[in-house]
Amino acid sequence: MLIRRVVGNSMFPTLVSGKIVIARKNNYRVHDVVIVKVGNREIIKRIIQLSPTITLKGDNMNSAQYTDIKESDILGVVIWPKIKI
Amino acid sequence: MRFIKPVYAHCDLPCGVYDPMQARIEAESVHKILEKYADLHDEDKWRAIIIKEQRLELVKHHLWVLWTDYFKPEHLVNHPDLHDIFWKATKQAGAVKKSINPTDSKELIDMIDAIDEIFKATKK
Repeated sequence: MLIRRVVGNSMFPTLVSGKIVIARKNNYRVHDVVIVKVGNREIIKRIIQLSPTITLKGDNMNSAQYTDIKESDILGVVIWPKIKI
Repeated sequence: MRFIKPVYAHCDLPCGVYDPMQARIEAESVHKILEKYADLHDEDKWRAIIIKEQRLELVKHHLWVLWTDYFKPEHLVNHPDLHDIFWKATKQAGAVKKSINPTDSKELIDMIDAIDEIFKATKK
């Protein structure tokens, strides 16, 4: 289980900077908010596509996309707070 | 108290998502901590100091990201003191780490508000 504090606005308004989240290594699906290892950082985004490649995007309308995410980089699915799809 | 590791919703892509409010929220939290500090039980004072230290690191982080990733050379035309304002604000964040005086944290908030005014002006 991961307990993390959100830093940044790319998931606004769903998650604001400073919010504490809990994530677990679960099966994931489109629309889940996940914590992902990118380089030497952990980032938090929503899955918008699983096939043909895993693609992530922040809920903030100005957020960029992350494409070609590896399954092994997905560290957990946010289970708290309950996030609306 | 266990330090809660950050997870970034700021991606350095850059994603174009910037807002001085991120720094302000953390600075406000610090200010509230310092306002309450004198009335805290001794066993809570050490927690308050640890939380204050963490929040002020976030203030500095948010200010640096805004300074280095958002603002561009052309912004200096209308705001030639931009670098000085950011330098002083991040120095103030460091000063508040050593302080338990809410006056110092209020000064930090005022500095962030000044940055916010410039930020809003660049959006027009």
